Amino acid sequence: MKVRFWGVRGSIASPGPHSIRYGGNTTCIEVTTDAGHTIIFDAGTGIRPLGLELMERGQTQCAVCISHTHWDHIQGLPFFVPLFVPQSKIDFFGAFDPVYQKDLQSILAQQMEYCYFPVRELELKANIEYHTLHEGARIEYGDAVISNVLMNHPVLTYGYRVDCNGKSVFFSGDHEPHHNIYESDDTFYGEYESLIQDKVGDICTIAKDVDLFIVDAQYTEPELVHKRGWGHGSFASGLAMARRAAAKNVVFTHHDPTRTDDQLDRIAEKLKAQLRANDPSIQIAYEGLEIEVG
Amino acid sequence: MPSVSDELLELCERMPAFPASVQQVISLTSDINSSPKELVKVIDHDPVLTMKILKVANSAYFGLSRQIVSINHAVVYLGLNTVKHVALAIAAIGSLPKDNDAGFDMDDFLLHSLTTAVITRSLARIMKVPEVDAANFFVAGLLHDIGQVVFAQFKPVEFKKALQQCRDHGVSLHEMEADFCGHDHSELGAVLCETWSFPEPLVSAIRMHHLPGTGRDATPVRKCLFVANLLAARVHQPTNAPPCLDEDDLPPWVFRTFGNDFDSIIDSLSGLKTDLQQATSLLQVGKGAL
Repeated sequence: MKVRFWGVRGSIASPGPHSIRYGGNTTCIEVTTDAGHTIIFDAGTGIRPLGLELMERGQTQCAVCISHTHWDHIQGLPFFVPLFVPQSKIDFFGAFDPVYQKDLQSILAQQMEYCYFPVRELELKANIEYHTLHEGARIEYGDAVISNVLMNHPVLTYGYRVDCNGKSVFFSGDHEPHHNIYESDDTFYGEYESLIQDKVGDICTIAKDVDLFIVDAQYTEPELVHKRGWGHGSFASGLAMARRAAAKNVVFTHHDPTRTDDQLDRIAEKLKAQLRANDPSIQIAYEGLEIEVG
Repeated sequence: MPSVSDELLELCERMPAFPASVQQVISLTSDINSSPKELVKVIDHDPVLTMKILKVANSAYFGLSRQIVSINHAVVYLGLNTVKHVALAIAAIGSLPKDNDAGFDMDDFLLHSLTTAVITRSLARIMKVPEVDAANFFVAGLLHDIGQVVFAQFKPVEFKKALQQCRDHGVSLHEMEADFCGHDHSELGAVLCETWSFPEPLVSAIRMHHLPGTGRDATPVRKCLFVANLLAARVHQPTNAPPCLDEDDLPPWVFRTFGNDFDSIIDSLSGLKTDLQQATSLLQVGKGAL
């Protein structure tokens, strides 16, 4: 199984001199299974160049697992060329929206409405299927199995795991470490803490022993203090979760749009210096990073 | 007893929440700096908001790996922002009118529900239920009479007759509801909770909250809710539905489990008065009643 990063930026695409090396496209990660099936995590702007490459390769089938429908995770879709090609067979997976009471198809179609885009979802030529996932789903796709778990973000977000011939990868989507809304002397503090521990336990069970743990690390630890409720993690919180899941390798992604290449270099050095014995190996995602899993 | 109609269940989907909590949800959600726990507190003291958020959280659309049994639980699983927006969508429906054609006193209902919720949770402590599970007991108390609000809203003529009979002849409200409305509020509440996939112990506790049973095989939440409902009426006598069971009518398990008599049980519930004052002040009910 092979993983390639096509978009590693969070919030908004951020091209420019500061992001030349790590890249400015928003989230899109390609997983190629042993038998050559394509599973894509998220459809940020990075899915545009991936679409072009898939066309070149003649790869007409893929699964697109949408972690959530915030713009930086779906905005590349209208420019994903395989959607316009009749030979394509594309399966979308994602959550039902409890607030809008709409399924994935309706939400994705919305961003292609008249005022946003010239081609309507209805006019796409590919053979498209939308699958609304329950938490804990188990989808067989080619020689791989995809499973999912609810993460913590301001909109319903799934983290995904892909297993293929004993090798595995977990992608957190956007995720903020759960925070106790009560003060430590509050009556409900203990109850809430215990609910959090159960939930984190559920996430780490899904991610247990993965070969590759891809995690949202938009912020540094000091930044996270000021961004509580924004729905993202830090390098430290991502590493903590990977340790608890006993992951073998960690890749930090979803870089803040203001984060420069030089800052990311320094963060990587600092993190590596702080690693303990038996810690997973760590790496910072950049556009074009390719990892052979297992 | 006839089954609850689909039409009535659909009407319940559109039932608005209580005025004070609707107002507070709107105000708290408009303030980006408002405290999350304040919003949670407002939601989990309103029976309609609580019921509808648990309905969303337990919806088959997500098929969550765990059943969601309290608002804190929903916040941890669905996220604060999602719960906030669901609450806002419910608030946008409007609010329950102060007066209804059934002549049903909504303030009195809310006061009884909150009192029962607080006492059910306190009794859970006597039964040494772990703190993390006690939240489910609060929810059971809060929702046990929800069927009454449904009748007041959607079957006011029939419910008015049931209330009248109950007041005039001192008979139990749930029996009169069965006669006039087709089913009683405990059955209606249970069917709602069942339809919306709430946890089974909560459903059966609501269904049985007027039946003492023998105590054998009864879940802790059922035992606590049954007794809390009677004690709540002792703390604050509801005008809508006077209680119809005295201490002498009760089976031995009640006093074996919780204390010698009603007064001594109430006395043993530490912090009850403070908890009740906090709960009721939030929804601006029961001023001077406690």
